[in-house]
Amino acid sequence: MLRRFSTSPAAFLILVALAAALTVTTLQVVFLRAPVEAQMGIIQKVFYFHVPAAYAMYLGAAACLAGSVAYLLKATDERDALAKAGADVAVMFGTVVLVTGPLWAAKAWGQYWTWDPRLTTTLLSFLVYVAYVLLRSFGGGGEAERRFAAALGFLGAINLPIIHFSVRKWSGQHPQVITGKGGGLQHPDMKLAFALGMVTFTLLAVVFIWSRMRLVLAESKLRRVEREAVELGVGEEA
Amino acid sequence: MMSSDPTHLTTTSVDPRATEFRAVEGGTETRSGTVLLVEAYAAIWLILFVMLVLGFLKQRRLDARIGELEKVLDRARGES
Repeated sequence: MLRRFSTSPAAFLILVALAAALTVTTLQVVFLRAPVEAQMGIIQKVFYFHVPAAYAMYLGAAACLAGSVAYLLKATDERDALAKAGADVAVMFGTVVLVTGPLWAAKAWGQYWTWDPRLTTTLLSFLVYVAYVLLRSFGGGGEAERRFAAALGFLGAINLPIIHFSVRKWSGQHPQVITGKGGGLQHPDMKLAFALGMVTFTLLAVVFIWSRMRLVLAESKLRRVEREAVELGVGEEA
Repeated sequence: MMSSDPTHLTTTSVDPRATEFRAVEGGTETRSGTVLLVEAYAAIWLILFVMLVLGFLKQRRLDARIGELEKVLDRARGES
């Protein structure tokens, strides 16, 4: 079922078109409709993509966890592809979070980085997924490497709830606007911009997980075809 | 030509236009929020776009290679 889902080009193109349209709409609302925040000024608009990017990183990590656990239970190419695609997406959106956050902090805190609990746990989690991607890129595509990567994908997910609750449990500088404690987003257009950002990044995460899955499945297929070519003695010819 | 009389600046004549630019001194703002915002958005879309393009190119290369190999395999199977 996973293979059929991941190789349907029409559904994929529809999703890409929807994600692109929503991206443009979100940019329009963020820049032309949402008001400038009273204290921070225009730099607060980073928030509309920074938080959704963090959420998209969680989605990638969740896909990696689901694929890894499923692969450990029963090893198939599709499950491995989901885990690898999830890790790729977690690294990609993690990069977005770790680039946009410090740029916001430069204005809001006067420095790019502090060893705040949320920043530190996010960096740690990001590095776990970087390790996963490096392992898969340079460790070969053997069964042992896949199993080891699946274990890493499972362990990497343990840090995710720690990131989420770090703001509440430990004191730090990181704002907590989207919780019950903060004042939240005061203006309806701010709420709209944030909601659109969340939907857009959810779609982008799905698009990227999907496209990376297709890529990993194509790599697996290529390895199979190459093996077959060698067995038939036509490896040289190809 | 600017007049030294400050009330003169409130009139709508051509004279009140600025003739010099001065930097803010002693202010607290050291970094432009607008520049940082543009940098942040440029970074986001650059990262996403690079990933999209690299993924697309790699997929095309893989599909082409698989297609080539399958043709060769079909030929080999037909001969045997």
